[in-house]
Amino acid sequence: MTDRRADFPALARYASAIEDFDAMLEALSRPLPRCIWANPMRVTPETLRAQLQQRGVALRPVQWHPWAFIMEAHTQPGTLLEYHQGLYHVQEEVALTAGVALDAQPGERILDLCAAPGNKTVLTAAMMNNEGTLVANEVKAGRLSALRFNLERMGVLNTLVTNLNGFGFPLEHGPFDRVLADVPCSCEGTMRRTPHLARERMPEALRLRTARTQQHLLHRALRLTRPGGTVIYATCTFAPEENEGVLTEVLGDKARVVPFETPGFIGRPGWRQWGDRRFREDVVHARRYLPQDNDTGGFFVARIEVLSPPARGEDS
Amino acid sequence: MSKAPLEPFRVIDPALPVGYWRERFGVSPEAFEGHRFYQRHANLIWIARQDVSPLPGLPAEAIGMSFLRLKGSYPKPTSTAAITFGHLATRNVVDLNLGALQTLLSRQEQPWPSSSDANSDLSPGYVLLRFEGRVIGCGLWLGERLTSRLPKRWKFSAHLLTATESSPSS
Repeated sequence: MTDRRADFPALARYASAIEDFDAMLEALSRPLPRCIWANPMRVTPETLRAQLQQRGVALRPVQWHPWAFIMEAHTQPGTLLEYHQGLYHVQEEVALTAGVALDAQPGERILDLCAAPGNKTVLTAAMMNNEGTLVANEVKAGRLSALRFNLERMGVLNTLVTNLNGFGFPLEHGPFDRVLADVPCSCEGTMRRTPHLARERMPEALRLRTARTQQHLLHRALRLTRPGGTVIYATCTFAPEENEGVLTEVLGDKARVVPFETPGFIGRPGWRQWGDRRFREDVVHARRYLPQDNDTGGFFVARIEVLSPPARGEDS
Repeated sequence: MSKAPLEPFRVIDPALPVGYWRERFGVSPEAFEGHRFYQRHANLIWIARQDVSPLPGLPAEAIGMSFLRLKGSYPKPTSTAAITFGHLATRNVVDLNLGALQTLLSRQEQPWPSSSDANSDLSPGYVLLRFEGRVIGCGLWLGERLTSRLPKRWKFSAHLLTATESSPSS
């Protein structure tokens, strides 16, 4: 067990905070199951399964999500004809929780603030049944092509793609019913795909800078959402500075973290404390998805209800 | 370092794109009800759901999906439009067998019609390519020969189609 701990110096800081820490490292050491979901804008899950079966590619249904499967074959899921036809999307199973929490509805006006490469964007469009308006924003011009490729491949017809800094997304284009803030983070939860991260301790200054960026993005997301609307704050990291810490810094009395369910998929409550730092009470409604609980990557999702309109002249 | 400002998308009269799909592929204009067509440059028409509300003064990089290319001798449906709306087509559709698809994916010409009994009521221009009952993209048919307009990146996955024949049991 100590050996395993030596393989994950980047996560050593969580050893005492996560009681089954060794089980977590054990899970992170295994290859990640390949998850895909049938595109309801193009095909039913049953038809997709039958069609891939014909090709010799077996799918095992993911019990908690009606569209999702684990691809059991030798095949690279991104190289099949059915992938190019947009019959399915390849996405980490744990990331589907952000879609469940967002609960996008047909006809709504929704903003994906940090959209590329578009995995959660296409999931959102599918949940909207391709109806309403979905603004897919990405600050990095070099990532727009991946975003557009996925939108076109999946047959999405309800999007506008914009290339703006999320901090400054113009308020006059709000308010939105829902905003997805799937923010850039230290990606500690993705180590099953990017093992080199396990060996790289994040410098404190960088951690601080990352958290500042996340705070700016969440702050903007709140201001772009109508009162009573929903913001989803999501990261793929275990770091409380980037999760509960950001919620505590930003929400104030403008918004509150509310419960959501992912029945059949285990999530743990957000942390109230990290070292000397206390976080706001409602962070317990956020969900920490740990690799050992569902055999996935790690993920953090908070569903946030916006309480009041942003005050005039408030600084962003 | 700001880039040149984007030209805004303009809503266009649906007559051209809808008329083209009706004339060429026999798709009823009703199939496009609930959608709007847009143009930014002369060469490309876009399609989006009509409830997509624009962002006034904020030109988008893209709206909905690219739909019809107007450059060249014949209008060409984009691959994504072919895949999205092609199932409604009643003419100028070519049913490919595995061999013909592999020929096209390797960017070689496929003689067409391939035998005297094959469906040959095609007219010159872009045709929709159907494989195993689904439209997968476009080809260009100029009489006797079919050439691929399937996305070039697809050639790398051509070998995977052989699974239909060899059916590995794993």
